[in-house]
This record gives sequence, structure tokens and C-alpha cells, in this order.
Amino acid sequence: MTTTEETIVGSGADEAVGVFNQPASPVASPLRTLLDPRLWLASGGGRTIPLLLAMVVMWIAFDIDSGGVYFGSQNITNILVYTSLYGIVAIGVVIVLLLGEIDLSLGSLVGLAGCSAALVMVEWVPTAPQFVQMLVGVAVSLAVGIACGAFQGFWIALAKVPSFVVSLAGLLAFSGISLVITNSQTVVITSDYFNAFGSTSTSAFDGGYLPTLVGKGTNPLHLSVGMIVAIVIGIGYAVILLLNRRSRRANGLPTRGVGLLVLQALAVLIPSVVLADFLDRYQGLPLPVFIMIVLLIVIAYVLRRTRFGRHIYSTGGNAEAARRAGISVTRVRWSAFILSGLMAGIVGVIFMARNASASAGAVDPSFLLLCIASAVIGGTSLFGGRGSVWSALTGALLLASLQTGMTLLLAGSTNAQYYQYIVEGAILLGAVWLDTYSRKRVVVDRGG
Amino acid sequence: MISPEPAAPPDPVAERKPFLRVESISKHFGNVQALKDVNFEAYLGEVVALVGDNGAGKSTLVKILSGTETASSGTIYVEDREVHFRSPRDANAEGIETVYQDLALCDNLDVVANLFLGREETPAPLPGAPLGEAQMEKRSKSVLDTLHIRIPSVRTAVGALSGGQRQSIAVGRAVLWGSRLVLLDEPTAALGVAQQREVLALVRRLREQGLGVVVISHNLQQVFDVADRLVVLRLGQVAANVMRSDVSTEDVVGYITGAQTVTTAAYA
Repeated sequence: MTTTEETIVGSGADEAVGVFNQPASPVASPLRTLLDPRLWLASGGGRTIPLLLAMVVMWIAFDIDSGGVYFGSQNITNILVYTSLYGIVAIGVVIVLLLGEIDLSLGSLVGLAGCSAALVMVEWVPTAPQFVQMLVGVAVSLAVGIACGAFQGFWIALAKVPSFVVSLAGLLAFSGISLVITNSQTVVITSDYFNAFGSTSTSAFDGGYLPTLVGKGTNPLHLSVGMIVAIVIGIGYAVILLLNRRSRRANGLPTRGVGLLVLQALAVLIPSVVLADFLDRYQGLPLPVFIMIVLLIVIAYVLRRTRFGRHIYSTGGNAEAARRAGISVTRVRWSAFILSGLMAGIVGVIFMARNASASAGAVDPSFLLLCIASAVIGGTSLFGGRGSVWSALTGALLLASLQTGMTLLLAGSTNAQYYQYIVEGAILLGAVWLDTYSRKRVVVDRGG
Repeated sequence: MISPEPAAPPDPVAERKPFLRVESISKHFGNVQALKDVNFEAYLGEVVALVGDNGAGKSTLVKILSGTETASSGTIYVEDREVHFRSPRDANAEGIETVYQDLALCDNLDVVANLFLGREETPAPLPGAPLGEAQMEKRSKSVLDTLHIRIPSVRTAVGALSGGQRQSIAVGRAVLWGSRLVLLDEPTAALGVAQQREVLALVRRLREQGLGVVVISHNLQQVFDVADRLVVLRLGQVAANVMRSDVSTEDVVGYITGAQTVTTAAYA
């Protein structure tokens, strides 16, 4: 191998997850992107860097203010469980936003799916073993999510009713159905296995955490399932990078150096392992967080690496062009709403399991708006075609960190929640302003 | 001035067989007759310009040729076979690709993704298989090289390219898909002078490579610059079908406005 082949040829030679939706300057090297704030704004993916910096500052401030409680492994665990609630719904929101559509019903769909699951467990299979109850409950919640997503998708994709209206109707109707079927009562969930999905079980699935296998979590030298997950993620990422590189070389395309590739892999591996160790000091990787990680990876793959994902981006970017290229825009739209419904069904399980009970009012109306905010703050455009599932993660992490921090900070204050709304509002406005600003830049780029 | 009407109009390209031939195509939208008994043919290695005033039926004809609209009556032949275009896919299958005026590009996707839009390649023929990004990138580069299309990187988002580059990408996509006849709808309408020249050069390159090209244009100067043959539509009918070398700009303006007529009804 010669040194010429190892040279980075612009961002175009990017061999990683693909930069096809980042209209950054064509000559920007990764380093330049990092150093030039204007490029952060211009490239949707670059939003992550300033966001992470802001988050670190916020974390440190909360930690100092709380006297070290904030960075405690219990609090980190807490933050991540909240992140999973927002994050998984936000994955659904991202899929829908990529199409340039909106789904306002996901919050009340979480409620409906969870209530249906709880009711079926209590009324249809009350005498079944707890594990079987759990299976039934999970199946019901997912099925309700998928069915409602498919129903709304039908009206949006085939009947061509604007998604805003359809999902607004869904928001109202699903809350109504939840209230009717539960008689506006709270249904107590007794299946310990079900509650494990909210990390609130007493014994099932190690209390809803991935178990430690060797040694104690507090000992640096230990092995837990969470740790294995972290290592698999790091190694898996390295393998994907290597495979991409090989396939590019096989096709005679320029590739980046192996050194950079190793750095990239380490940048994923080390934080994952450190985080896993941190979580093991409390009770391990929480089950809902594990579910979120799996979903993030699967959906990231689907969106970035498969034809279906490409069709979602193209439909969101230019639906007419996609249609003329032979893409069934109707099917893409319908599938997207089924997927977002599925995400709501998954969160239906986690949300109600967390409370070990289900009620129509459990899901606050602000929940969905915060999930949409997560996606948008993370960098997914409201105008369609730009964004990624990772924005669901960063946005949800930011909001969950903020929420946990402000609850700690203002524990005595009755107004804690209200202050929180104000700050969240400010962050959302700032993030959308960034989105509008970066759109303008793209247009300017074309003129030049 | 009335030009003499020849008794037996000569077939402009008699010695060759047309790649595409349409016979007495009519199209009406409700009461509006957009096309009436239109005959039209396109040859490989030839640039034919479709000109006419607004509402003359140019776009409707191209839509029928590209499969986006179906004719109310009439027949389409590809290499003497009768074909039926129910969707753009059917036309594509016959080697006919259309570059629309709006280019039908996704600004949020990069050049490779746009070139392969709707026809993404996956090495493993399984549902959910990963896209063959490297293979697609390689093929993208090679087709752009063949057509001398220069862009900063095939991984640039199309939204960040210039108008001429975007037009070239749209044409490149048609060529990539093994097109034999490219339909260009107002390819230079939204471009600056330098970029117009770039695109016209590209059109000539398509002809040199043996492709047939149908260009719709308002710009008569460009039509004379690039076309071998001109078909003038007026009020949904063919007003003239002439070789460029046989006519002047004034003649063509005459055909367009109806001030001048020729009978070229080769199939009438």
C-alpha cells in the first residue's frame, strides 16, 4: 500500500456511516469541521459537537451544585432510563420527521399501548405465570402500537390527509380510548417480569438490569453483560469500519488510513466501556437503556444502510423526485408510521413498567412534545430529509440530563418543574433557530 | 410570406430507422385537446428539438413519451415494436430516460445516492441487505468521467452544487441507466450563460456516444446551436418537422406562431 492511497480526499472519501445528508463544504476535513463553528451549523451531523460540549458544561455545573450527587452512578442510571423513554419515542419521531411529516399521537399512543397491555394481563391472563403474563403484555403493547401506527399511516399515506391532522385526531382518540377501557382507573401491574422493563422489578431479570457475571460491579476488575455489550459495540464498529475500507479498496476508491480508523473505533469503545463500568457500580446496564441501544443501532442501520432507509431520506428530501424514480412513496410513508407506532408500543411497556401500573393519565401531554424536541434539538430537521437517529439520542440525553439536574437542584422548590419547562423551551427555540440558520447556509452555498 | 408546399415531403432521415416512433397520438384533459394526431420520431445519434409556444403541447408529448401520462389515443413504437407506457418504469425499461425541468433530484442526498435513486444496488439480493456504497460510488465516478462531468466529490450533497452541475447529474443519471434515448425538458432554463454552454456541450457528447436526445427548449438560439432536427408543435399539432440546416430562425418563429406553414406529415 502506498501513501497516496492513504490520503484523505475531502469529506467525499468518508468511509464511515456515510455523509450523504450533510451538505458541508466539500473540502472540509474532519479536523476543520471540528474547529470551524460555521461548519458545525452547516452540517446537520456537526450539530452533535457543540451539543455535547454544552451538555458537558451543564453536567459539570450540576455536579458541582449537587455536591457530587449528579455524577453518582445511581443518578447516571436514572438519567439514562429517562433518556430511553424520550429516546425511543424520539426514534419514531425522527423517522417521521425525515419524511417531512409529524406524529402528534405518539404520546397518547404510549398510554393506550401500555394501558391495553396492563388490562389484558390483569383481566385476561390473571392466573398465568408472571413470565407468560409479561409475554402477553409486551405482545399486546407492541401490537397496539403497530396497529394504531398502521391505521394512521393509512389515512396519511393513502387517504392523503395531512399527518398533522391525522395524528392530532389520534392524540385525542387514543387518550379517549385509554380512559374508556381503564374507566379512568389505575391498573396495577403485578408481573414482575413486565416491570423489569422499567428497571423496577423486585427480582425478575436482576431487577431489570443486565447482570454482573464475574466479580462485583464496584470492583474495576469485573465482567458484566453490560460490559460485554459495550465491548461488542466497540469491536463491532471497528469491524464495520474495516469492512467498508476493504470494500472501498476493492473498488479502487480512496480510503482513510488505518490509524484514523483505529482512533475512530477507540472513540466509541472507550466511552462505552467507561460508561458500562460506571453503571455496574450501581446495578448495571438498565434493561430499557439496553433496548434503546439495540433500537438505535438497528434503526441507524436501516436508515443509513438499506434501500428502505434511502427511500425515507429521498421521500423527505423530494417526494416527487422519489416517486418519479419509481419509489413507492405511499409504502414508504405507511411503513414509517408503522415504525413510529412500534416505538410507541415499546415505550408503552417501559413507561408503565416503570410505574408498575398503567393509567390513561400516566403519560403527561408534555411527554410527546419533549420527544419531538429531543429529535429536533439533536439536529433532525423539521422540514424533512435531514437528520439521524443519533439526534434522538443526543436530544433525549440533553433533556433527561436537564430534568434530572433541575430536580436535584430545585428539590425543595415547588416550582422546579415549571423552571424546567422554561429552560426546555429556550433550548428548543435555540435548536430550531440553528436548523433554520443551517438551511439558509445550504442555499447560499449553491449560489456560490 | 407563404412557403411553397412540397407535394411529397421528404423524410428528413430516410435512410435510418427511428428508435422511437409515435403515431397519431392524441391527448385530451377533459374538454381541452392538448395533442391532436401527433406523429413524432427520434433517432439514435441525433438531437431533435421539440419547440413551440406555451401550451403547444410539448410537455404533454414528453410526458407521454416518458410514461408519466398515457395518451388518449395513438400508438408508440420502440424499434418497430408496439409498446405501452403505463409508468415511467415502462419507458425506462425500453431505454428511455427523462430529465425533467425540475431535475427530480433530492438536494439532501449526495451525488451517488441521486444517481442510484430508486435503483440502489445491494451486493446481497436480500431484503434489508446493506447498500453497496463502494460499488455505486465507483460506477458513479466512471459515468461522470465518461461524460466529462466535473464535480468536487461524488459525496457532495446535490443541494450544494451549481445549477449546471445539478443538470449534469440529472443527465448522468439517465446515461447511467443504459438509456438510449434521453428526453431533456428545458435543460438550460434556469442556468447562467457559462452553465448553459456546459450543458449544451454535454448534449453533444450524448449524441457522440450514440444516444438519441430529445430537447424541449424555448431558446431558439440554443436549439439551432445543438439540434439536428426540429419538430415544431402548434396548438397540439405538428406544425413542422425539418432539418436544422434547411431552415432559418425566422422560419421556425413563423412555424411557432403560425405565420408560416410546411406540410411535413411524413406519416399522414
